[in-house]
Amino acid sequence: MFLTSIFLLVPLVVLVVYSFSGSRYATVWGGFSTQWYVRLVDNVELREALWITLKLGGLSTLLATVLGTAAALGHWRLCGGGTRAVPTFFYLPVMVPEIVLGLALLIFFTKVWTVERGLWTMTAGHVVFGVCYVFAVVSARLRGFDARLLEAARDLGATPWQAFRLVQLPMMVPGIVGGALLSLALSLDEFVISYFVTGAGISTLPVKIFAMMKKGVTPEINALATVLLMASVLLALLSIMVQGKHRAD
Amino acid sequence: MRLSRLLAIFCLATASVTAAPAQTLKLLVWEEYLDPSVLKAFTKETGIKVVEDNFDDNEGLMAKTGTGKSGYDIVSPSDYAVQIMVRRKLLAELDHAALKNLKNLSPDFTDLYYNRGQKFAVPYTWGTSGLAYNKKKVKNPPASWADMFEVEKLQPLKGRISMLDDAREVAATALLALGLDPNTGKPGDLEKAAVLLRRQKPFLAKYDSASAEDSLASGETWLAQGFSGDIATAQAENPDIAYILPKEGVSFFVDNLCILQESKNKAAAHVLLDYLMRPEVALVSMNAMKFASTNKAIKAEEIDESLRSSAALMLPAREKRVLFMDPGQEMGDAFEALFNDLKN
Amino acid sequence: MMGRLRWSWFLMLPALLWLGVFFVVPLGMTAVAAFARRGEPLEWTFSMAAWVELGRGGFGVVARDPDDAAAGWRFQNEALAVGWRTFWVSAATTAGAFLIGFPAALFMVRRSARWRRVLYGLIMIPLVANSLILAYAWVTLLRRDGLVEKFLRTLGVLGEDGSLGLIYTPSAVVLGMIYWYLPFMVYPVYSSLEKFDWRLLEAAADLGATAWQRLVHVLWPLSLPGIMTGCLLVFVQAAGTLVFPELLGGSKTRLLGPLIHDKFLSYPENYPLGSALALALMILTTFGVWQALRVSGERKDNSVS
Repeated sequence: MFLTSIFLLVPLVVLVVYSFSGSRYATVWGGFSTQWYVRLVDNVELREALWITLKLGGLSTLLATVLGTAAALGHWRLCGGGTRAVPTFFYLPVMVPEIVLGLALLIFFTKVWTVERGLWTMTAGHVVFGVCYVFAVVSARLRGFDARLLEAARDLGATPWQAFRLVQLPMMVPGIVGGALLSLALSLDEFVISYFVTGAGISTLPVKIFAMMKKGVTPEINALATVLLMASVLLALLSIMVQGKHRAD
Repeated sequence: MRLSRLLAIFCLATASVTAAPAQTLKLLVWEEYLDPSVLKAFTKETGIKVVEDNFDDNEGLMAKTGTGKSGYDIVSPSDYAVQIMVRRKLLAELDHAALKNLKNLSPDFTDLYYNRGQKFAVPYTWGTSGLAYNKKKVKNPPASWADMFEVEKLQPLKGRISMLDDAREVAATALLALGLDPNTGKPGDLEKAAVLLRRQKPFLAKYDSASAEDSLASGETWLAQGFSGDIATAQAENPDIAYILPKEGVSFFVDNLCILQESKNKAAAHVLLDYLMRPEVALVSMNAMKFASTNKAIKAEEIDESLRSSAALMLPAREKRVLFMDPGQEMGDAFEALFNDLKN
Repeated sequence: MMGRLRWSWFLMLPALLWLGVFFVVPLGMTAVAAFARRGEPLEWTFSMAAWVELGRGGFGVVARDPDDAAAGWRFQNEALAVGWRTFWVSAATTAGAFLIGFPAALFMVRRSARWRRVLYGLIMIPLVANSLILAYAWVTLLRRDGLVEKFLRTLGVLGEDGSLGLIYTPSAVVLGMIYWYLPFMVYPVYSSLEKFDWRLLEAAADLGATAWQRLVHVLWPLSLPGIMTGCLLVFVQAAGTLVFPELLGGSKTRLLGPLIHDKFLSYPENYPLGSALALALMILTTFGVWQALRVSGERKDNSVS
């Protein structure tokens, strides 16, 4: 485990340390400097890409969460807590390599439903895998739910809607939040599908980073990565806190 | 139901953002092609917004725009790519009345096979892809492409050599070394080239077009096939980098500005093209990006001194210039297959 | 009862529709495109050209280097050669991720809840950090005269001009991918170990089983479903990888991902051939999925009986 930790941490340390390098090359150390962070703040293109990434992530997570949660609920009502009848269909997209999904969508959007590619075509792809993850996480959560609780609520005079909203939904929330966060995290980092179906002037952060890398990596990318890393660590801590709080409740 | 309120706010926010902005030109051009300050100044002068995306090989550009619904207005294909894109009817005919500054272009680059009369393309920059090496590390520098296939010469540099990640460029080096035509239509020629390239491959660190100059300047590689402008960038970073034009001849390219047929902003695109042809504007990009301009109205003394003696401005003799031509789909596949086979 | 059923389907409908339109139909069109004529870039006319091209060269092998017999052999057929390499690169990645991930998950699951959370976060880091950039961090480490080589030189393990020669080789690609895909291995393995009843091990020990026997006969069969899920996730993703061969492999060896990429996003495009290759990739991964399900299914039956 000690060696594993080193294996896991060394690239990250390198990443962070080199973001403070004075050299123009991301692979060569050139003395301490914070110039790349200054540059980062001034980089309009990256800001634009970040904004598009967030929009795409928000939009696709929203859709995936709504669709995935509804589907998981429907499936639960249909089959109860049974684990055997999990529809493999919902897990298929995860079993297909991203690049295949990317090119399939490219064919679809160029030769079948010809549209100008951009935010919406990317959203279409991101929701596909997002739905799967939300479905899986919410389903897992519902598996432990006792349907008799709903009946009890009905017996006590609740309408079906009230029973759902006051009994079942609160119990589902951690699953929904977990699924949504997973879907969001994957969307923010997704590269291949976005790369295939992106449009003119619409670059997500990963696509932009890939383009920057091909140009030759400057420590500016390291600086960006460090900032993103901090943001995701914060996000992760937040989600642990939210879920921990729910558990405490 | 706080959640639903949040969702509503989010939807409103995205809706307001996707509302149509003012006129925007979308560019798909080479990386290291236009200096960002140039585009900013253009927007300030005309009010036309510009968004820039980059590509790193002609093949990628052609595939991206080949579907005819890419959403771009202006692209910057090289010579043979212009020829192919004209054949595929992807480029719009230029309106010379809107391009007063065409007169600034040097005749050296205007009268080439793919673009007689500048009907579809404005030649904007030119360059070569020769050999660059680190003077401190390479004791016995190559003078010809043939040297790049001699095992004894490569041995001391093993793992320190990079070639371009580009089927046409790499094939051309072997074809030139063999005394064959880099625009050959004979699959047999490619087979001969493949033998040489296969022999060379174990000595290479990598095939790399995009960051070859970085690896060279940082000392990771010592000998590299590279584009002249990129090498000039490396020279500015590391004075030990030298550049030669191998004696058999050298791949010579002219990158152009073209307007896509699909563009809905052709008038604005012409305005930008004409703006970019102003000598003072072309000079800014040339000094910053280090790719030589085709603009003859630029005065020699205005060019950065370091650039004047760099790889960027080494113009090969006319008979040594090798311009690529459209190989046709069949030979295009053959070139790709040669390169893929090399990577097997 | 009917109402309840209808409601349930109604809830599932939007998701099913979305997956139908943006997943099933595109994949179906890909399958169709593999039998279409290659135009610029595609014409919907029946043609077997892509498959003919895919099969060119047959199953024959040729010497890798005619001058040098020691260099070994390779498939003459491009798809086979690339598919074969993709298979073993993904398999090596999966094996590596397992060898690191399984002990890590085992270690984690035996710690206290707080420790667990910290370790869990550690393992998940590659997932939350931008993966492209992490690939580049590996370049910094592995490159010629890079940090690893400098470190080894200081230790005296490596000579002054010595080099590992690791960067820009398939091994570097595998190493980078192990790092990247490790979370996909650890997560499912960890989940299955979490449910594991540790008293079983004690019982086995009481019955006189050695540590090795306990591992092989008790722990292993019961954690197999999780392991298989992990292997599957890693294998499928590694098989379709796009950026690692380019960044860490120096574009010197072709894997299926970049090959397929070029058929779509590089002139001259060949959508039918690219689609056929994508189907081949699907077959490769489906084979992996099927194998994994078979193995874990068998084991489950065994352990029940």
